[in-house]
Amino acid sequence: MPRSDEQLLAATRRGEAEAFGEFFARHRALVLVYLVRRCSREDAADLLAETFAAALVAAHDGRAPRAVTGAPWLLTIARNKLVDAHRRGRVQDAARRRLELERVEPDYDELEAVGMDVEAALSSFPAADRAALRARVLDEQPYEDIAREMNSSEPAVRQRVSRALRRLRADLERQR
Amino acid sequence: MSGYLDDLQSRLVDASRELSRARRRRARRRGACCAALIVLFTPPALAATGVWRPQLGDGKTPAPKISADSPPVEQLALLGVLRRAQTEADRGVASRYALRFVGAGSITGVRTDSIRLLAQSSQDRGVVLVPVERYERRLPGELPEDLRRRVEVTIDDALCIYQLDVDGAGAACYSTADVKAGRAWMMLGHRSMWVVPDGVASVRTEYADPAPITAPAKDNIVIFSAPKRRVQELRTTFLDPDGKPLLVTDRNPKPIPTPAPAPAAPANDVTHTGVVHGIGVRGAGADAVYELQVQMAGSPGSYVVLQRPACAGKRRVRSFYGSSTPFTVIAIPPSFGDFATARWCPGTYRGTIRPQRARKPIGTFSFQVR
Repeated sequence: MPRSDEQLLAATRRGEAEAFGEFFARHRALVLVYLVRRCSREDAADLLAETFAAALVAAHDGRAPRAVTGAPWLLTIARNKLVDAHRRGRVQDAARRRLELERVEPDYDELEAVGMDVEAALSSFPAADRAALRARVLDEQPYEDIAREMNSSEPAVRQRVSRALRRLRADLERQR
Repeated sequence: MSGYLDDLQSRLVDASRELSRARRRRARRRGACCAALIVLFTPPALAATGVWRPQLGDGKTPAPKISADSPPVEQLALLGVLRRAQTEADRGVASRYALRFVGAGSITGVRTDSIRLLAQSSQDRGVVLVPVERYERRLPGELPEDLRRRVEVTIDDALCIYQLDVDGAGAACYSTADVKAGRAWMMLGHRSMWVVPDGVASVRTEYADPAPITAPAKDNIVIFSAPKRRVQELRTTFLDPDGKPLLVTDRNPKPIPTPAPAPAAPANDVTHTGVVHGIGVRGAGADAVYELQVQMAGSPGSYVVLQRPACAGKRRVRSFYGSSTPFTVIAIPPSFGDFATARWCPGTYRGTIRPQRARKPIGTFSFQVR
């Protein structure tokens, strides 16, 4: 039985370093796909590292959310880092500097392959789930607007997004 | 999949491991610190807490090192205040404030465990004794050798006194021989202060006009208010508990004739008002020493405040200046009020002269460094 994100982050804070590795492996594709749709692939690679570095610092400082899935939290961090990078004209590296994390030259073919994996996984989803996930997670539309467009209720859309995220995570873990 | 993402993952795992280690180290240190605090607040155990490590200096300029050594035996034999145990008051606010003025430019090896608060009252914010391994007073730049010889000094095992005031501190360092010979004297505003050896119970100061003032000694210090108007001191006598003189110092000795230094060349691009009658300059460029020609009747001492351009770092520096003659010259070297600065930086320097506790300046000046 795989551990929930909350359990992984709690284990990270207790000193189990590999738990954060598992958390990273679980969400890296989603965060990466979110980022590559919004900035250059070079910036996306830096923002990915900065996002997870910030999440690691927060987990050790006891600031990680207590929720079953950490995806919304990670995407919020990624969005804030992205906005900050747009405002400053460059990607900040405060969290990486705090961790003394050296920059590694990204393998862009690999990053593109991750993007394709996500698209491949999404293609097997029911159309409504896929649309809800794209609209909410990748395009950041409010639930209210998505519900109106899909002629559905807001709770139903939330449920679709949540279900799609769980399935995407499971599919991506299988592909690794 | 292996490559960039796996590499990043393994680096994050390593970083997580290091964060956990760092947190454990911090927790251990906190534990040790709490233990030290418990010991510190137990008065009899004060001496067992190791060398006192307060902050030295203003945090911006280099601070001198702390020395765990005791003062030399000769000093301990001379000053009873150094033989008693250090108290909480000795490590209190006044001492910590005084230590902000201790800089690495002139002082080496601060004997923090021998710091003593000598006096504190409604008139004295604090008088703090800071024994140090070495005190050196050096003038920066190219200066006439005779001036350098007269001003520069090195004192091993110096006894530095910081006399705190509401808006600053006067400081002076003495040798053991100075204390023995009755030369350890300083004045801040109209508060006069002597460091005296054991056996001296009081000090009598005789003036040309008003009646003598006799002040008691406590903790090897005598401190009293001198007459506020300008008066000539004739002699000072250290007295034993029976009132018998132990040491008489002539305060108005006949001056030793020394050749008067050549007048400084008039400086260009200067302004001056009030008590500042002119500005001269010795040397040139970044090492020059400016000289304020001042006529200051009736003021026992004043602060000279210098506003420096941004390139100098610390913008506002000052120094206390006292003189017994109405006409005087105040030297403004690059290190004025800031021993960490050895050279001028280009720009306009503006200054004021303000008597102690006065609100308004009595003179202003400015000069341009190119």
